[in-house]
Amino acid sequence: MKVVRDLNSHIEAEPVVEQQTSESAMEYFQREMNRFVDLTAKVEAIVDDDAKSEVLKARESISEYRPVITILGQVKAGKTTLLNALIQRPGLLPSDVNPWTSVVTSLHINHQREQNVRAEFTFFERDDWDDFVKVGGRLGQMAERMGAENELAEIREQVAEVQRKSHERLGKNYNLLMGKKHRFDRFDRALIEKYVCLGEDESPAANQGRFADVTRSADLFLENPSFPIGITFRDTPGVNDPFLMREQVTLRSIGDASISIMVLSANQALNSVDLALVQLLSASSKDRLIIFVNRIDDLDDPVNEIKEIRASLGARLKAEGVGSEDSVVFGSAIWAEAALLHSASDLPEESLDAMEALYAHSKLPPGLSVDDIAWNLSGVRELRETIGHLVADGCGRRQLNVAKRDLHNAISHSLLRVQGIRSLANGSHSVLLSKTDVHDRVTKICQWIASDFGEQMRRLGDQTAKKLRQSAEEFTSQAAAAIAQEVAENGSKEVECDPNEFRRTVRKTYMAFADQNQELIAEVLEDIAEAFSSLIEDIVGPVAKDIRITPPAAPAPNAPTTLGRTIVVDLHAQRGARFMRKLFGSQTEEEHIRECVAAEVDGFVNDIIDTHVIGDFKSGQELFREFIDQQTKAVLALCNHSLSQDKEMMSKLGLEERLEQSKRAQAIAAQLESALQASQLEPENTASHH
Amino acid sequence: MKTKAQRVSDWADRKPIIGLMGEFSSGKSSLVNLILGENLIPTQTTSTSLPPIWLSYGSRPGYFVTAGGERVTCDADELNQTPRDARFVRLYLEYDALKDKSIIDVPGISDPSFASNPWRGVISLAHGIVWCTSATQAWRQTEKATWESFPERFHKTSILVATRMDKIPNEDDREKVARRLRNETEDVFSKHVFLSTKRAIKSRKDGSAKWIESGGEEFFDALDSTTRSINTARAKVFARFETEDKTIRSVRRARFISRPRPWNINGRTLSEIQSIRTDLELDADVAGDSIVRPSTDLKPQEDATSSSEIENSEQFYQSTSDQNTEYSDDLIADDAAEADASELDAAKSNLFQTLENETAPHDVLVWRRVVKSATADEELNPELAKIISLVDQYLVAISNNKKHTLDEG
Repeated sequence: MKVVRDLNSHIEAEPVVEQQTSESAMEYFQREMNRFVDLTAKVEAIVDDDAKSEVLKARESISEYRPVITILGQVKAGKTTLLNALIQRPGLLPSDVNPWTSVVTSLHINHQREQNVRAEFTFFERDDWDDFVKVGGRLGQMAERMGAENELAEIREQVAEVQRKSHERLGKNYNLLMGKKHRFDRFDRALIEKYVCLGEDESPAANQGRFADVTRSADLFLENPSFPIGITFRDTPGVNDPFLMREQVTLRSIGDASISIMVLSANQALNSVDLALVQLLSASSKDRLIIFVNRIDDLDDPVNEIKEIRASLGARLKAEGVGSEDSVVFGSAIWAEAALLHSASDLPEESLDAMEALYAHSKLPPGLSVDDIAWNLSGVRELRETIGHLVADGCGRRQLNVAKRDLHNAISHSLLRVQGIRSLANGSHSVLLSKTDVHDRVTKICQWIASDFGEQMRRLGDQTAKKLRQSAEEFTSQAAAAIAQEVAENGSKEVECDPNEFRRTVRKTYMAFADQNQELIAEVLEDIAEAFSSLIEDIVGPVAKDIRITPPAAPAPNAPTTLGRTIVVDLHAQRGARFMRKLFGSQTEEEHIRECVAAEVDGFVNDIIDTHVIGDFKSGQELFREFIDQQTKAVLALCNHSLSQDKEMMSKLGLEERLEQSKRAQAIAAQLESALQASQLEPENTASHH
Repeated sequence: MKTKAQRVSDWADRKPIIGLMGEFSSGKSSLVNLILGENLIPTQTTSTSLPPIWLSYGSRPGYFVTAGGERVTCDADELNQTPRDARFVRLYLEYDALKDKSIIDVPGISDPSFASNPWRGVISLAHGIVWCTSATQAWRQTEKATWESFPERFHKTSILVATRMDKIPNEDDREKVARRLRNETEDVFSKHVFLSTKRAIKSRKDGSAKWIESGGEEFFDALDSTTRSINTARAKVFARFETEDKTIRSVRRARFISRPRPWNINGRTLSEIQSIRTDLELDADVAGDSIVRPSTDLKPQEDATSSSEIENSEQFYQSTSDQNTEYSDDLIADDAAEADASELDAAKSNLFQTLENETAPHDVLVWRRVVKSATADEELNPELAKIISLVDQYLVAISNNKKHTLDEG
């Protein structure tokens, strides 16, 4: 009695057909995307040439939008099996009882592909290898101080060993492969294995022709009608693997994920490594984290244990101020896989017992087949729904809103120009400001922002820095006192202190700053938009009074990579539990201890201030500059038209022709106005499909 | 203040302490329950947040030590009510499995609810470790890094148990996992056991095919042989300290006899032993404590392990007797191992038989322990003291002569 593991023959198997009762969040979002793309097509036909490129840009940002969903978790948490189940292609990506891949595999679903490429494998470049071993700068320093230097040394050794082995095996081909890609117009499991799976060491024959150790990334393209929109799933090697290089690969791929699915094992949900990873993820993507508690099939008493895990997980997440209980999904990738293969009845006895217990307590109708039960309890459908909601209400909605704003402004500018023409045609002299006047006004706006808001930002920054330094000071005093006491009592000993509380405080302070800063930036953008709106009104007169410039969205807080990196280093350090572990002699003066602790803590705090607080300010300023530049360009174009071209053109026309022009302009203006209405923003997170 | 010799003697009396460790929810508590044969420790999927639980043989009342160092009496069925910041729980229970060893169930590593590492104190106390790793996610970096931070002496006295083997349904897959674990850890564990804990508990010790298949039998064998090899190594160390002036000649003789040829208990060595016995019977003062420190002259050709074992044992003293560490009082409390009259008689006769038969040092040490505890109870019973002294010399003799058999573990 065993699960059918030879899955090759099943790869193209028909997926289980699901009964869809109502429109899913993702379908709803797809319709919205389509509506927007249709709208841009209509708008494109009516706007003037100056606005066309803006409209096109807005359209492409939606028609080419592909949310990236990264699957992360500890080694052997069931990530790959889960991904196979998610895309309803059991066995497509190979998995093994032992960890065996260092390759990040991206599954691009419903993407437009170039030239029939369906699989693309990219090999390492020399620089990539060096990247693994080169941990310079602050990260390197911190790692050394926090006792992760041994792990860094181990990574170096492992990388060198992998390089040596693959060089030996591939001979002169090794150099030829570096930095290259292999492309295929089709793929199957065997092909993927060749590039993605490291075999066991003791069977060198099986290793022949394998490229897994030199492959950096795999990109597979496939169609799947069950996903209404284009989407990319990314499978990563597990963290907490003794083969540390794999973890490095994963940590480097977190960056640009729209949504992260963190896979936990029900038997040990949320240990300290998981927690560090959750902290890292929620630092880089605040509301984009789903926690999938896998392997509920392993639980002896799933009905009660799931309740217990949910409660303890929720409490833990709350205590740490990360993630949210709402985005926790329980399930079993193995059940989903079995259901998709119609082999659920072959599952091991304990697994079936667990399933039966859950079924009896579920709201599912009685009398379902084993496969149906397995699918319904696998949590995969729920996971897909959760992804759908997060895309539709979160990252996708944000993307759509940005595009809508851009479109809105493009239409507004175009409308103003048309209104200008109309006024000219009607014989009214509408231009009230000269070009020099406009320049002066823009300069004033810039100055006013620099002084007024610059001041507010400085104050906020100083406040934050003060708070951070204060917590650092407190922690230093406490830690130094504790260490001094320990040294006094036990003589020369290695001492440790727990930085968790301190890290939490720093994180909280930073997050509070980020929120305030975001608010401030939004305010400034609003004011800039207002200033330009009134400038426009002054240029073209009352026709512009209903046209308002929409400010862009304030950016999400600058992804705090250092905060993240620090946690990564902590994560390493926790393993050896050597954060701030130093040898102090028994004669050590408390002052000396204090200095040592302060050196550790201040470096950390300064890093947060330098990189994040200042970085967030900078990205805010960048956004102001961009917005002002864009608006200035539009306003000057408006001036140009009104002052020269249009006027000149009008002067050549006869009265009837002018009337004709005016009528046409009025018609276009009416169209643009209705387009403007259609491109109004919907408030975030309140999409109406619930 | 006890003399070093007394301390060494006390130390030899102690039962080996086996620490059960691993990540939280890796099946430690189930394993304790398997060892005891009863569901004593509550098992739970989420982290249990119980302090270390120290289980020893006996009928004394149990207690826990609070964060402030205060002792509070508690019962085995009150484990769940232990305050979570308690230092440890001490329980005396009359399970067979605890007769030859004490067990400490250590809270799991990687548990976010414990800020510091609760195993630090246990490490200086334990002689061997059973490390639990969940087969489906076996031997992760957190485990490896923690294990690497432990003293090397554990590499020869510890078992890696892959629990939940039954969660890997496929035979080939089970073998793959076993192969990887062996490859990656063969140098740092003396034994590897692959256990389907739940199935083992179901069929516990019934000798059926299921029991064998579950890995239960293998686990008990490994545990037993680890306990024995800890005792054996200790007997060696002990022998080095037991070089009282009066016996030095006999020991030298014994050493001389066996040096060129293999040990032969029925040949001349037996007569040497007998002569030791006669010597002892002639001299009533033999139980005095004029023991000198280990003589370099008598130092057996020891390998690195046993000398490090000596260092460790000395460190062990440093940490448990001389300094007032959190466990020391409790450790001493364990010295007076309780033995009833029948056990004492059995031990006595066993010890005398030792001199006629080839007996493993492990057993000698166990019997000695029983007799010694009775000695302490009755304020130095001269007869028992004599037996102990005799046995000590026997241990010296066989340790110096019978190296091959001593390395039975």
